[in-house]
Amino acid sequence: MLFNSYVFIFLFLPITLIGFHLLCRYQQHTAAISWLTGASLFFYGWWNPIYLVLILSSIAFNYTVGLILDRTSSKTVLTLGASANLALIGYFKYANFFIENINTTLGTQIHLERIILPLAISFFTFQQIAYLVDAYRGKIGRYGLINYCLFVTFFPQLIAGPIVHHKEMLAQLSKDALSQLKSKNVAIGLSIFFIGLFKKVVLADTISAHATPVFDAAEQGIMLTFFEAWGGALAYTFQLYFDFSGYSDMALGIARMFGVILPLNFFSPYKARSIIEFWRCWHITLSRFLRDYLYFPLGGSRKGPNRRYVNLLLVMTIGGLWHGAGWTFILWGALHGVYLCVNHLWIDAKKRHSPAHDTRQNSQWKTWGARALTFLCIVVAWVLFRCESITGATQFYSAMFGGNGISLAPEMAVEANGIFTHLGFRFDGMFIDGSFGDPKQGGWLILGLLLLAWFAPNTAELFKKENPALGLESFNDTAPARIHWKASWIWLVATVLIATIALMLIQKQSEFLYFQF
Amino acid sequence: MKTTRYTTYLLFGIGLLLALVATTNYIIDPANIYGSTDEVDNSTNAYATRLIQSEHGLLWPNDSWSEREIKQNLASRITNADCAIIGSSRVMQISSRLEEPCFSELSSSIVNLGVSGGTLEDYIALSWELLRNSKCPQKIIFGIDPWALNWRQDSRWATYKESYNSMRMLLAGNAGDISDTSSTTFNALQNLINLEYFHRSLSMIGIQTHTITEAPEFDPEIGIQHPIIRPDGSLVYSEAFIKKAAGPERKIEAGDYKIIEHGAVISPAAIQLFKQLVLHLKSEGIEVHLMLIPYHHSVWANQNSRTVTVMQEVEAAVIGLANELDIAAWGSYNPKIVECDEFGFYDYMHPKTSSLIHAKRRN
Repeated sequence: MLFNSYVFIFLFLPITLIGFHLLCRYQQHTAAISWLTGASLFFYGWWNPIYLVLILSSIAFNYTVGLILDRTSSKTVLTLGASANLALIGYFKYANFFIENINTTLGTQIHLERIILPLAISFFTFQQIAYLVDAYRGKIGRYGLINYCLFVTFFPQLIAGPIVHHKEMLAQLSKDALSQLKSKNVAIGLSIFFIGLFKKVVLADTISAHATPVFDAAEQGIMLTFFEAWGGALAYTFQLYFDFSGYSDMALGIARMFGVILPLNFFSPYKARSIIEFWRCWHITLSRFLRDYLYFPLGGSRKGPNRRYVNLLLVMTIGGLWHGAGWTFILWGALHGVYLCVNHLWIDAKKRHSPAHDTRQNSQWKTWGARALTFLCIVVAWVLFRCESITGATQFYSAMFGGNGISLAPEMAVEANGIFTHLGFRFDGMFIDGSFGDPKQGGWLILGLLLLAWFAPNTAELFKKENPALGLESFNDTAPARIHWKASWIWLVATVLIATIALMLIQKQSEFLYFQF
Repeated sequence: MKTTRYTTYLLFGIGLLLALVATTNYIIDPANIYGSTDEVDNSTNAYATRLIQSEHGLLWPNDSWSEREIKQNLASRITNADCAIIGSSRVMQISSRLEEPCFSELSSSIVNLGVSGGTLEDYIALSWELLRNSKCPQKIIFGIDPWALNWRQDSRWATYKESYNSMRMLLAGNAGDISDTSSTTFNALQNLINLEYFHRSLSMIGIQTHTITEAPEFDPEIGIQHPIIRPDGSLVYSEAFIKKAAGPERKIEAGDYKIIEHGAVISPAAIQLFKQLVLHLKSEGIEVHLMLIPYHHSVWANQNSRTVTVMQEVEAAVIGLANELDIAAWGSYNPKIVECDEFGFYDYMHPKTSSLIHAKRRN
């Protein structure tokens, strides 16, 4: 069941919400938690009920191991517990990839049936590994099985994050917290949800028509032009942005309707002025997990600069692999690792040359230069993230970096006194393959979305006064107070309009891109 | 405002707007999905249904039903054809329902899916519709025009862009079963709040609708007041058009007729996609043929013109493509090769049915 489906919006969500609020109103705390857990399991089982067995077994196992660790703090038990989780994800997510590579490298013929990846396995496994590590460190409280089960399966965050920390979630499920459920939560939750739905079905799904066929064409070995490749890469850059941003908003909004505030997962990442800043704003909870449970245990930056760079590369490569079992994901992660290393080297070099320099005092053009360069690096990296094969990515990069030459519109051959001819351009057309769709429409859409991503306030900023997400306090709020959300007529009319348009456009439900991870 | 009131108004507002949209869609119902109007069903769906059942065909007045929607319906519903022809207006005269049927060496029962400005995107979208049909004809002839092996030579294919996108996804290996298994009732309900359908409903307001009318028995050499679409999808021009084409004022002057609007003539990427389409159709057990329809002699008068160069280039490419794909190529852009006389044309690009009786194999 997708958040952007009529079944979810008109049936599942209202029924679950009404049931939950009624039970809370009559002080049936355990029943309310059980109701929400049951609904979450139903939501998960909607795709394939057989995987309910898997997620329930995983929950039972980790809950038990957590109890043991809480009492014994045994490193052996922790190792066994974490290994079992890694083995589970390793089998379902990486076994086919591993065997394919062995067969390719060693020329063997090992055969393994294609294993279907259970939905959300990457998310619930990471969430539970973090729980076990904290249990070992003695940092968890006493939680009942139902509460723990809801912490893992809570449907707004189950499928594509945010990766919730037990401390953030379980405290909010206490009797006291739930007995204070307010109608304001529903108003705020609904408004955030509809903004997310609009981003997904209107913005992301519209621009996807200019991205998907271009990447498909590259995979099929079709030679793209320079403009098609950049057009496709930019279109995908915004598709992914508004898809994930939309999903994150919807998750925050739905959880809020149940009185739960989820951690912030997305904060205008394309406004970032460096790759370091980008990773503080994109998939924030994944970055946090990788930092706390991988980068720091590896030594972080405490063991000298060289070790820091090795750690960064390693963590980002693993982060890439977490997204998918494929060399393109690994290379994407590694590329971001390199970006981060370069970024740190640059900062160190600047500190050496001008120790007193404060980057906050940078001029506007420097800020925008940094933002544009960061954005460009991100666009280039997304190509690896999106391509299904290294061959496809090579084909794509070749077109982006002029490997196929630069072809202009035929009428430009005679314009500008033939200057383009002297510069070595061809004139077969800027968009030879039809995969980018209508170039004018695609171009305007990309420009519009770029302006939105760079200049519009994000949802968390708009709702800042209402505490929409955990961890928001560490970000600067740039949105003027007059546009902050409040239960006013203007907000009401705007929300009604965007909600109606979004609901009218959900005719073909498309999956969220992060579902595949 | 109190948040309880805000939430109530929010839900009420959304509900009200959706109800308004649903009511508009239900009452106007441009595709007659709900059968809610008391008036006679004049939707394109109904037109296609009546067309298949008709004896001589249906009148097709100017500015009436969308030809692409009619052909889309025809492709997915036709049950009695052994061959489909897809192409531009230059193939629209081809019919098996004549005293001397067209291309009888290829088929005894052709369904004509030609559309004005038909191009590669139309081949793709209409192939998708044919494949969805459980009684899909076992032969497909693509009428390849000089502009057809390139992209965006015409934008009218966007009428069925969903079919186009679905077929491209299928060719890219991204689609599963193409048969439509979703619930009709659920789809119909969903459609009540469909933005696109709402747009269509609004555009219908104030527009005079045409009534579906069966064509009387007629002489195809003369025609009647309105153009006619025959039950097999082929077109008979109106009496006035046929008369004008035969009259002395309709002399087809020799000259460099512009048949390519812009861009490169042949796109390698477009050819690659077309090859994928043909290979996919072959893998579905469908026999594919390529057909070149002649231009008038006057177009060939200036052998050095760009038009002639383009036609020669594309013709060679089409024959090469047919050889490579191991399929048959027929006809020629050159009327002399296919033995058409100068009077066998309505204008410089549209041959009469009499010029399309026999196909000449080229490979």
